[in-house]
Amino acid sequence: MKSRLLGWVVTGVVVIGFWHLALVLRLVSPAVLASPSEVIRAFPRLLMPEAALPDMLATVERSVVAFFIGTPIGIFVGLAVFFSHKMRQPAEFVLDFVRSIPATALVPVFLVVFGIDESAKIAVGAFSASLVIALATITGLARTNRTRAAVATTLRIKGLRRLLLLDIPEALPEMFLGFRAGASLALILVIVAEMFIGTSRGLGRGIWDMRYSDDLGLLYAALIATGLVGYGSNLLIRLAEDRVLHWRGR
Amino acid sequence: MKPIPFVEFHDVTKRYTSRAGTKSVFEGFSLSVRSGDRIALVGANGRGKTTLLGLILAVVEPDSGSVVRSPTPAGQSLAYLPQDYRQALFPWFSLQANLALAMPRTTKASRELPPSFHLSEYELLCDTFKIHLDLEKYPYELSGGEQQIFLLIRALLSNPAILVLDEPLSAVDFARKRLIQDYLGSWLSKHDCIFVFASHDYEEAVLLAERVVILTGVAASNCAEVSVTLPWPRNFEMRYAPAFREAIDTVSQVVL
Repeated sequence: MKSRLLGWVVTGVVVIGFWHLALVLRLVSPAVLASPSEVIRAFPRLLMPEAALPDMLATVERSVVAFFIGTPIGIFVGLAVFFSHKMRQPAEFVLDFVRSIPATALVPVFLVVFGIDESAKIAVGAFSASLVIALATITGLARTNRTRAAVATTLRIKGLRRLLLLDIPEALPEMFLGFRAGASLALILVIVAEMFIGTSRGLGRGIWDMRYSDDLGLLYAALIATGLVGYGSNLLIRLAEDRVLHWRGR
Repeated sequence: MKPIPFVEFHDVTKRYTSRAGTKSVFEGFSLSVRSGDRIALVGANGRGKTTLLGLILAVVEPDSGSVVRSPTPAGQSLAYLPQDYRQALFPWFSLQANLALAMPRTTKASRELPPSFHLSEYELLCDTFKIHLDLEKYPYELSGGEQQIFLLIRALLSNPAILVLDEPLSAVDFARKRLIQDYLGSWLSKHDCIFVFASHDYEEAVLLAERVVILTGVAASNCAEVSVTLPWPRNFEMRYAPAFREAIDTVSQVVL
């Protein structure tokens, strides 16, 4: 336990050390990179009600909503495509193709379709999340173990019961990968949308507004806070995953 | 009159295509199996033992010809112990749910044990096989041999109309294997089902079967058959009987 803690401390010291050294040796200009101490001092300001805290909450709320709208849609689309037999390959191609368009490039399209209110930001996040989740669901369903499928057939497990008892559990590990990718995409797109689609609140807006500010420390603190939000959502899903997929890797 | 369950192969062809080309496992293969038949499948690796079992279970489709199987009577099961026993149970469910899913019932398969199920029968079989398998456990908490024994117990308790075992005791330790083979030797004398199993162990094949079907490959018209005339119930004491030795010798010669 003690040596583990030491590893964390050493890593922290090395990262901050390099950061500090880069500034001291003028490898990076202080005009573009805040020093570690500035950032640390900026953090309390970030949490003040009039600063970035409402921005953070607004962004978290939008990405969570986007994720929870995108997830059921993605699962449903994935199931529908997988079980559509002859339509499956073309439908999967369409999904894969649309997914290949960088979702950030679609932000203007969503702006046109949904206008400049909340719905556009949430829709673009939900859209991206649903695509990766749909594709992950299809991949997962295709992974059904052949022996277990044969056993299920001999046990006369079919239709909806087969879906619930066999196909979905088989697909879940892959689906969870999709959930994690979807959650992180939702966050990315909400932040990008906040930069471009008029809003007064949101980390995207806040970071964009800070671009000409003198307060570099606050900008970097906001970036780190964004990272923490992303890391946190990933961690939450991973914890859920470990609980749900108790059989994985055994 | 109750219909007699059967499985019939008519002129079945089955080929597998891979990058290396097409490999024919069965050409014009015919076989007739009736209820009460105890059939052992032996033969070298890759001769189609598992494919034949798959055809019986209708989880493998023939390329041509037909496999006709009588419908499974109500209250009976189609029991299958696959070769890869580690992939046969649903690891997301406990042993109890896995057991329940295999029990025949009038309603749809369920994770709850049916009222007709008697836990004492399960415990009795565990005791007979000198094993303790806690139903609260998950399949991955069992060793390979334990999973295999659990699958066998599940199959025996499910009142099978057709009992299909693919190398059923391959992971079971020697002493317990003898115990289970003896048990099967008497169980089979009391239960009227179609029993087909694949094995590499000729003693096991001869002990538990009346018909030893040897898959010889396509060239020699698919298969040869050796009859075993030992009386039922069977047990391992019979391995010194002349009929037993004779059957083993014949099987060994035909396989090679």
